[in-house]
Amino acid sequence: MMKILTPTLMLIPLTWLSSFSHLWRPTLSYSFIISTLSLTWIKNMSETGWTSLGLYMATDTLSTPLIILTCWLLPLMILASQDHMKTESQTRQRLYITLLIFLQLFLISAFSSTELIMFYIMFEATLIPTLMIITRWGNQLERLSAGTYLLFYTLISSLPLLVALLMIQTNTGSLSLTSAQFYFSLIPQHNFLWLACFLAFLVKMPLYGLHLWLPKAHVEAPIAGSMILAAVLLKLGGYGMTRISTIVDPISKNMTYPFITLALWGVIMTGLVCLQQMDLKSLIAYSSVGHMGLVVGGVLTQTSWGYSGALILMIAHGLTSSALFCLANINYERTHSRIMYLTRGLQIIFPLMAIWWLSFTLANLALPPLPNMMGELTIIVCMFNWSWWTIIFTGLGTLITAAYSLHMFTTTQRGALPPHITSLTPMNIKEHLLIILHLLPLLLLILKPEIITCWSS
Amino acid sequence: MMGQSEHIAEIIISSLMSMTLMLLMGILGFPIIINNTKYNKAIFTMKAVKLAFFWSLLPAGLLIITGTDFTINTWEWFHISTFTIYTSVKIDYYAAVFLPVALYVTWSILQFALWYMEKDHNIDQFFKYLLIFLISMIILVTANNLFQLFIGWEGVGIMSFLLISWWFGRPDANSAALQAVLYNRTGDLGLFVMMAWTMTSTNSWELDDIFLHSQNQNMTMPALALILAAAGKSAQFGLHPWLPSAMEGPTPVSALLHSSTMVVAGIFLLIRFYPIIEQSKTAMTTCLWLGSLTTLFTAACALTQNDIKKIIAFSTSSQLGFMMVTIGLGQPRLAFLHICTHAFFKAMLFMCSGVIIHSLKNEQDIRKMGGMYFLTPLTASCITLGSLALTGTPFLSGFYSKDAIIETLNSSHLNACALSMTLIATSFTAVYSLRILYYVLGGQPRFNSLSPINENDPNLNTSLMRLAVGSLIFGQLITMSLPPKTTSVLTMTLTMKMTAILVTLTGLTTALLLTQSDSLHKKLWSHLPLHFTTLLGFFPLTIHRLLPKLTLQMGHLISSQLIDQTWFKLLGPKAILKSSMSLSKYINTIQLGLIKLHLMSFTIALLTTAFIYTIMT
Amino acid sequence: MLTRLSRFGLSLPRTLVGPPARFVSQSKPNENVGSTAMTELRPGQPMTGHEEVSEYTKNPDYYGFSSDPDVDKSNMKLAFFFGVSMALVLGSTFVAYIPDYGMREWARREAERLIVQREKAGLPLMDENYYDPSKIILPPPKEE
Repeated sequence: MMKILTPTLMLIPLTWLSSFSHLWRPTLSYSFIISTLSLTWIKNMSETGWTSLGLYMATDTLSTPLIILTCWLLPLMILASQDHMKTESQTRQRLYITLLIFLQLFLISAFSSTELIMFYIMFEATLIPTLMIITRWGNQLERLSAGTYLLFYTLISSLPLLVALLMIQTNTGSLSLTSAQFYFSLIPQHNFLWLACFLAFLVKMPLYGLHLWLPKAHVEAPIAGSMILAAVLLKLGGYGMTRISTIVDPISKNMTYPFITLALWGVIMTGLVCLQQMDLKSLIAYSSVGHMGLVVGGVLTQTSWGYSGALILMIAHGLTSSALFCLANINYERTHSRIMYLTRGLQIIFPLMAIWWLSFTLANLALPPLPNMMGELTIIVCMFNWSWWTIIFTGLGTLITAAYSLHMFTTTQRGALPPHITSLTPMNIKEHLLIILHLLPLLLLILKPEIITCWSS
Repeated sequence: MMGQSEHIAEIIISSLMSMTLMLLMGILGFPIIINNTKYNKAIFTMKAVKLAFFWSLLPAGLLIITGTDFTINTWEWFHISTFTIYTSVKIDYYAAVFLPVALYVTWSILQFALWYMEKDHNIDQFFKYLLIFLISMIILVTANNLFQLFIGWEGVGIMSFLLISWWFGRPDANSAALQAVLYNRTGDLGLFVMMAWTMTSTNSWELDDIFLHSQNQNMTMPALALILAAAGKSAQFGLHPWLPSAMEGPTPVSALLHSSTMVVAGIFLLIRFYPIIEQSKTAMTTCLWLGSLTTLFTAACALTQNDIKKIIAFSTSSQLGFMMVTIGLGQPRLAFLHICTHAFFKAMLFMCSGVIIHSLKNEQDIRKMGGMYFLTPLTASCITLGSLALTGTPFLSGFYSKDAIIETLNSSHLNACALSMTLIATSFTAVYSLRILYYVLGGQPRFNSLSPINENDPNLNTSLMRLAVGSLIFGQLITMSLPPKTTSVLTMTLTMKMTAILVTLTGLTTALLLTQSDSLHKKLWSHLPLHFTTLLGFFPLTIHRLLPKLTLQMGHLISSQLIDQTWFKLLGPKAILKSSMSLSKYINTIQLGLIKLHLMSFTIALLTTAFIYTIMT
Repeated sequence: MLTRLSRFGLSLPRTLVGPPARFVSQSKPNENVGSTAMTELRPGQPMTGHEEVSEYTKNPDYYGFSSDPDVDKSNMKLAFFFGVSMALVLGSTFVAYIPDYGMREWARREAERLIVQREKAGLPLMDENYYDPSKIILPPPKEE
């Protein structure tokens, strides 16, 4: 475990001690090395499913893909935010990178901790750097209210979790995930306990109805903030739900009904919001809410298909939505507008970028055999098995997803080029690299989807 | 028991076939991967498809000679809990016959596109798209696995999106492309249901396993789901409007889309899953009705269109309905045969229309054409041949499938209403075919005098003639070599035997008479039925306006403004804000700095403590 | 875009009047109205004082990493080396050749071995107790 955490920690002195003109180079290379090293966790040869088991930390088939995604996102964020940090002062640039590194540190700790209380602390700790990134480096005044939303929604909902965890601790004397099956019978199961345990994660996901903070945060955050928020922070919710459902009573059928209903209803409602959305970033953010609704549905059915589908969709969606935010940002850096109707017809001047847009649009609308499709299909099948009425919602959801994804693509890329954007700066290699580094992992996952199917849990 | 030598022969044949298939995919994949600017990539692609066609004759030949069909399981792709998804390929009668047909037609279309898209800067990219389109179709046809089939299915859909909006500067092309994807996605719901259903009740996505395990189950739901999927892809009634709009794409795209890829995929799906559909009476009836409704409605629409490409598009739609009827009749093999024969002459008709449109400076209105019989003789002969084959003239390709279908139809005891609708639609075929010939080929030229009429291009000529040969002999060839497995009706009365031809002739005569009366400016009909069909049954008018408007309004008013921006905000953040505001205001009134208030609160606190203390003790 | 679908339906009022010739557009193309054709590319507006200066004017080979051309190039090379050559190529090679992910094959082998063993011993293939319960010695229940 330490072989990743220590290098991540040492990135911080690297950031502060390297000379300013070479600030971005070593951090980028170093973080790439870390993400390569993190791949070693995929090797899983244990009967229990846990590998690199330490006292408080371990990885298994559920957390490994998420940790690797976290590690992969750091270099990409550094790559993406280089341009808009150019005008900032030295200290602030260093501080910004440090915050991103802290975020990675907290996330890895959260995903790999085997003690629930440590998971909780790390879960909360991720809020601090995120809040700073959004409220300090956001572009508009609304970033402050976005920060407030983010903080209050997640904090209020996660306090019951703390109480619930403390209660379990006093009753059983342990909060370890690895030995949950031994003290499971000692937990005083109650509907309120279930609710307290799940609410924090449902807000983080976010479940439809508790999602107001997400579009705000996404829209106001700088590119790195949007990327990490869409790619990993939301997945903390899905991860937490999967983990906590081994602790609380799995036969909480009645409790899941309203939430699954809300999640599926949310898939449609957020899709409809996306259909008439003008703001590019807001559209992508709402589409995240819709996709996460499917994940919520999958996890709450508490079947192995549901968990598998949820994990596949989380990883695939992490890469896809992060890339879409990058693309939106590339547009934004040139036109200084997020409004879709002002950035139309870009295929004529940026043909290669149109291909990137196309690829990620297709990923977003779940084209087989991309992992997005595998995830959605698994969840749809699992929900169908749970109750066949759900096919109406999931099916309509995919239809609407296709509609708004292609609408986004057609509006931004196709059609005539309006005269006011003919003199845009061309795309540069760095931006292409950034997108390719999102796309290639997604494509490679087609060949070996096993590593994200979470089969043993 | 199988003899040893037979067993060995079997192994040899199947390994030969699998090798052929791999080579085929290799040949087709090569032009996509290579990036060598030395060669002209478009020509290279065309040649690769040509080579692939000759290779694909091998499995077809082996099938004809030995009757072997086989399945290869190559790779355990991935597992979802205990469910394993393989990649497996099936080369049976359908795949082995379809492959050469599709490749042959595509080869000709690509050669035609060399001429048609000559001036396009991105011709290489265009060819790549067409090739990926074809490869998706091949994946679909050869899939022995529902997931793999789904890959081909969606791949075809997305490639059609890209190809229809090839001229992406035109808003019409873009919305037509979007329309195609949306209608297809609606159909995909059916496939989702099918996949979910097979997963839960047969626990496998392999076709053979599905057929095996679904013997004693109620198959109505999956069968209806399959029909929904097919209706989306094959533009059956209700989901049909995308097909005529798809004419916004370049003509080679229309030709490929309408002949051997995309639209026949839906019918092909039903043919593949016939063992499932067959088990549900409801599904069979649905097929019959849906098919006859489609064929009649779209044939009627074709009657009154003036855009040459739209007429041909509607005729495709009508033929697809006809194939659907055939499946409803319980004759999947005949439907498949009709897919194959239809591919040849439909591709040819589209190419001819492309030549004419090109020659008349992108004029698509048949009322502004005329006299092409003398100006483009080859195209004129091909268009005539294609129309004749389409109407089922004896001993041309279309005859072998169409006549057999109508005979089966006549001798069946199924729903007479649906069947007579199909017959009427068949007679309409002759009418709209005649209409094209009459307006385009006959009469005086009605276009500008300086039209760049030229059909003397070797690429164009060879490709047209190749398809003409196909439309002439393919039906004969396939019927001779691969006789249908189900027993066809052998004895019938003369009238029944002649129905197909008689109906067509009736249509033809009526049309001729009507034409004569129309040119004498006699108004035979009132305007209403004319409007009904010219405006496609008011379908786009109502649905395309109403549905998007409703969804967008709902999205805007309800989901965004009412719920998100009002209720959720009021219930969540605003509620907390208000309650804490009032609370803090209340507390603020105490903290005004007045000594009186401070002393009072101090006294109250003291008294309360004392009170509690006395009670406790 | 979705509202544009309605273009395919011709508007209702037009259907009630007019002969079939209405399909042919009679109006002259109006150049002020946004035309559907591709607009002509105009030269960029002259730079005003507070607009950003494009990096390409200083360095035509701009890769997007730094405004100094040399640093730019070396940064680009490093990013590609670590990002693509190392992380993606090496990483995916490693992942592709991971032995027996999740011990699935091992589980299968083990199961087959057990089946053979049990068949030989004449035991039922599956038993609800993995170990023989009589062989497990539990500690005596604690006295309260």
